[in-house]
Order: sequence, then structure tokens, then C-alpha cells
Amino acid sequence: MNRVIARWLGGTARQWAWRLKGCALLLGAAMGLAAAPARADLQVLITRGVTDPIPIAIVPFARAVPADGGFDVAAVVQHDLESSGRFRAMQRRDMLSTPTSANDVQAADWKAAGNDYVVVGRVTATSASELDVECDLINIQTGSRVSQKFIANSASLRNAAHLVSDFIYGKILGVRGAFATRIAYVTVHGQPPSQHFQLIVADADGENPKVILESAQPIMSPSWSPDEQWLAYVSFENRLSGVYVQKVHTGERQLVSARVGVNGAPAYSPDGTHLALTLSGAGGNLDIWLLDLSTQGLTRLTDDPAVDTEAAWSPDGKSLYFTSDRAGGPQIYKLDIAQPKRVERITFGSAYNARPRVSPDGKKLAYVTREGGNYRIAVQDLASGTVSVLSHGSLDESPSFAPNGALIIYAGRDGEVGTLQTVSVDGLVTQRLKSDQGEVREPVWGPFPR
Amino acid sequence: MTERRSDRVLAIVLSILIHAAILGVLLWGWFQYRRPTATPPSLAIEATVVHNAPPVAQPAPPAPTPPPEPANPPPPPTPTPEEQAAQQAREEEAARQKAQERERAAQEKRNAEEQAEQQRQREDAERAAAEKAEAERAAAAKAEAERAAAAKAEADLKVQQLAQQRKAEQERAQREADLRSQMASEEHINAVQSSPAKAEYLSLITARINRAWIRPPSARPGVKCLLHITQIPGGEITHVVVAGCNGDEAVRQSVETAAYRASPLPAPSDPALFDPNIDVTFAPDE
Repeated sequence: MNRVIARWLGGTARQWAWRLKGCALLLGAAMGLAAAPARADLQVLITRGVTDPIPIAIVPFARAVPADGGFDVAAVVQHDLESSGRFRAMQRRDMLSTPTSANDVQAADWKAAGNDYVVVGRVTATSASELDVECDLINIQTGSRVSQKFIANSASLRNAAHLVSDFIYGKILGVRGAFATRIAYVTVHGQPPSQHFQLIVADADGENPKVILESAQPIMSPSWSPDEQWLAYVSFENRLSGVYVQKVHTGERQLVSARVGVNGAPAYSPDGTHLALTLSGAGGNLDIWLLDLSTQGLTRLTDDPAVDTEAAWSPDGKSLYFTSDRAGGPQIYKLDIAQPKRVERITFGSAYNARPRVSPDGKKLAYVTREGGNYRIAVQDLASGTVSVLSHGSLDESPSFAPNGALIIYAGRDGEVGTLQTVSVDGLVTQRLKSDQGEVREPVWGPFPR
Repeated sequence: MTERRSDRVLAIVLSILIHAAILGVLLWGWFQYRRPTATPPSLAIEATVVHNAPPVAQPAPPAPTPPPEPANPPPPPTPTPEEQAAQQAREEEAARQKAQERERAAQEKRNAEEQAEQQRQREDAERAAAEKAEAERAAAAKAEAERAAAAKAEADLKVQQLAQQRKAEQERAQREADLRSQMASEEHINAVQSSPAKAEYLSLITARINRAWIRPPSARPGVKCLLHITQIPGGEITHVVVAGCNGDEAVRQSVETAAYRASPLPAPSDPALFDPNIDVTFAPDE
């Protein structure tokens, strides 16, 4: 500052012209921003940044032996964060020390190892069955730190670890983490006519799978209720298609649609009161209908000789995206529920675009597109129409957004092996969650637990 | 062995009296033998006697004490009539001699006193003279010292003045040089502020911070954050202040972290371009 003033006071006469101009500018600036500090000589503008993974060290947590059952919280957290594609975790073997409290973290060491953040934590037994999981997140660069505590038991320790991941993810990225959520999918084993179908619910990382329905007949199109308590699906268990809703936790279920013809592709409305369905009726023409779950009342939304199916709700519950071949090949259209006759075509680029799902913020549409001879996952920006193909398989299907919109889960095939995979919405990070001998179909990512 | 003055006087007086007594006995014997030859006493003898008493001749210090009573004279022989006359004469003579002697002793004493007095006066005079000489010498020395000191002080002052003058000249020269170089560097700074070198420096810093900014999903267009960064020579970032940011906590944290991650910043090709203060605006585009 003094230097600036000195520079302004000294000097030759011919410099005064622009100085007076500068004074005028400064005066203007001062009037505009009374409290603004003096501008530095060096002004830098940053507009891009990078999307490099954030370097982070997740130090093994202090254990509560034997109450924690040997569960490694930090390992789960590390896997979660790395699977998001947003983080690059330091290898444990490279750690010089393993502090379990923020006060014991030697910032210089971790910084020298290239970290921006360090996570330390402790699992402590507070009673016979209860465990506290505490974590400290330290920004090594700025020195700031935050802490959080979760209460768990030995059975929910894995979920607590996912909550730790959510906390860290949210603090650093400003986006809610979706690690403590669940997915549902269908597996198929064997060949017709002796096939075995399972409806499975698992943690978002593919761990902790639980079979909630088994059948020798096809199970299709699971859909989560917005409160995460129910799954709607199609089952052919009675040789004919029927739409069921089942309470995940208890197994309690209801048959909600077993009409003549096809009963398919249920989709819970965002408020949980309705199902969008694909019904054929006796005529065999597939159209989109709206089923009121409390009254069983049906409302027809499309009436077109072409196939209209695979409805997906916009987050505001006001419109539906669906697949239709009314223009020849399958493409995605949008209808306004208040005025169902107003249908708008959304996709154009490929001859095959199907199975739409809307991002939680309503701004993106994910679907299956054919690219060359391969079926892949694409994301389209609804405002601009820009399409990005995110996956690289040959038979990728059934995209579904994570509730935070950061990842998309989909099913793929690798020869005879079916896989569950995730891809970040920018397409930079692909992760294989699960491989199964046989087929893995129609994964759907559940909402945030309430 | 210490000999006091009174002892010495006593000795001298006793000695004189003994001599006088012996002389008296001898004279009496002589008159007995050659009667009535009355030869005048030989002064020379007496003088010899006197002179033979060197202690007496010594310049005795003044003897204020009166001579002691003569020691018991030898008992006179029983006088006969002739003898009585002779005795009378001898006594008279002795008295006369005694008087003379007293007179002489007094004279000598006076002389001695006079001499002592003269000596004392001489010594006083000499001492006074010596003192006076000494005082004069000291005064002269003092004056000389003062003169020397004054001369030295003057010389010192001159040296000091010269040094001050030289120093002042040097300072003035330095100031002029500084001023010249400052003016030159200001010209230089003013010149480089709009130079390609500054543009290059800014682009280096921009690239460095851009690479360091891991942009969170919430850093969308419309988000704007201003940071004040303080760097030290060498480019190390010592201080980051988020002066304003309309983004969420993740954006704020990401830009602050980016600033520290960018440390050390690149050095300018021209040191004049270095500035500890940098304003960084994060305004993400698409």
C-alpha cells in the first residue's frame, strides 16, 4: 500500500495524465464499493479450474474391539469416495502415521504427501449394543476442520460408514452424498424354460444384497416409492403380468394392476400417490396410464396407435417422459399431465433412444441410445439438447440417477457376465459394482432415506 | 642509642668544669712551688684548653638552660695569710676567667643561635625559592598541557568536522543515487506494468491457480468469488482472504484451497513486477 502511494506521489509530469484518469476510476470504484479494499496491482481471473480427483487421506479409524466386529470403517469410506470419481485416496502403506484425532494430525507430513484433506476417526462402544462413529475432516491446505458423530450398532456399522462418506462428500463438494442409499435390481440365472429370477435390494456400493422376491417367472421394472419404503414391479408369477407394490422391509405386498393384456413399467409419482403404468388393454396397444393408488382410479394419458411405454416422472410431478415409436423408431417424448395431448419429442440424434430417466434436478435426461451397433448410456441436457454418451459397452441398459444426480447406475454385459456399473454424469469415472454369472437387469437407484 | 640535646649540653659543661678544676689545681701547685711568681695566665693555654674541647667548639644548638652549678670543687687547702692573698688573687683570676668564659660561651651561644637563625633563614629562603620554582614549573606544565589539550581538541574537531562533511557528502550522493535509481525503477515499473512481461507474469499465475482449482459441482456460471492473496518473494503464499463469494461452502473452500495449492506462485521474469498482493477472481464459465 505504501509502495503504491509512494509510486503515485513520485514520478515525472508526463505520468500524471493517466494517473488523473486512474484517480477518477478509483473515485468511481470507491463510490461504487465503499467498503471494498484497495485493488492489488496483480489481478487474476480464473474461469475454468480442473475436475481432478481431490487428494484425500482416510486414516484407519480407532477400533472398538470386539464390539465393532472387526469392521473397517475407513476402508468403506475410502471405497465410497473413490467410486464417486471425485476423490483420489492415499494408500495406507504410504501413511507415515495413523492418527485417530484431528489434534494428532501432523499437517506438514500429509501436505507433503500431496493431500488436500485428511479424515481421521474413532469407533467407540458406548453401551453393550451402541457404537459411536466420530470423524474429523481436516483441510490440510487451509487448516479448517469439521467433525461429525453418528450413532450405530454392530449391524448398522456399514451404514454409518456410508454416512461418514456422505458427510465428507457433502462438506467438500457442496453436494449431498448418496452413499447411504440403496439400489434394487433383478438377476436372472439359467436359460429358458428353467430360469430363476430374483429381485434384490442392496447398498449403493452393491454390498449387503438382500433378495426380496424370487420367482421362476420373469420379474421386471422395479421402481422405488419416494419414501424408500416400497418397490413397485412387474411379476409374471401368475403367468400373466401383474403390477405389485411391496414393502421392502417387511415383504408385505399388494397386486395393484392385473388387467387384461400387458400390465407393465410402473413408476411412482414424486408425491407417492400415483403410479404411471403401461397398459395394453384387450386391444393390445400399449399406452401410458395413471393409476391412483388410493382409489384405484385409472386415467389415460396417451392414446396413440404406436407403442408408448417406460414412463418417467419429472421431479416436479407435472410431466412424464416416455418411449414411443410413433415416429418409426423408438424415441423419447414428453407429455404434460395436465394437458396430455401436448406431447413433445425430446430425442433426435440416434435411430434408437429409449428407457428415459430424469435427473433429480430435472435438468438432464439419461437414456439408452444406439451408437453404431452398440447400446450405450447417454445423458442429454434438457435446456440445450446437448447429448453425451457416457458408457462404452455394447449392451448397456436401464440408466438410473443417484438421488444426488452425481452418478448414474446401469446394467451391462461382459460376455456371459452381467454387471452393475456406475458412471459419473460427466462420464469421467466408470466403476463396476457387481458381477454376476448370468444377467443383472434394470438397476434402480433409491431416493435419499427420509 | 639516642642522645638527647640536654645530655650533650650537660656533658660539655661538665667537661669545661673538670678542665677548669684541673687547671686550677695545677696553677695552685705551681704557685706553691714558685712563689709568688705571678705570671699572667696564659690565654693561649686556656684558649688551647677551650679549643681542645671540640664538643664545645661544635656549633651547639642554642642551650637555653643555664649552666649547672659547678661540681663540688676540690676542698681548698687551709689558707695561710700569704696563701690567702694568693688565694684571693687566684679566686679573682678564676672569677674573671669564669666570667670571660661565660661571656665567651654566651657569645658562642649567640653565634650559634645566629648561625642557626641564618641557616634557618637560608633554608627558608631556599625552600621558598624551591617552592616558588616548583609552582612556576607546575604552572608552566599546566599551561603547556592546556595548550596541548586545546590543540588536540581543535585538531579533533577539525577531523570530526571533516568526517561529518564527508559523511554528509556521501549521504547526499547516496540520496541522489537512490533517487536516480528510484526514478529509474519507477519508470521501469511504470513501463513494465503494461508490458508483455506483466501479461506473461499474470498468465503464469492464472495458469498455476487454474490448475490448482478443483472445481466443485456447485461452482456454476454466475458464481463469483474474490480472494486477496499475499505472497512473499519466492512465491510462497502466506495469507488468503476470501473477500467475497456468492457460492456455497464447497465453492468457498475450493477457492481458498486452490490458492494455497498454487503455492509457490511462479516468479516474474522481471523482479520489478513482483507484488506481494494479488487479487484473484473466480468466475466459473460453462
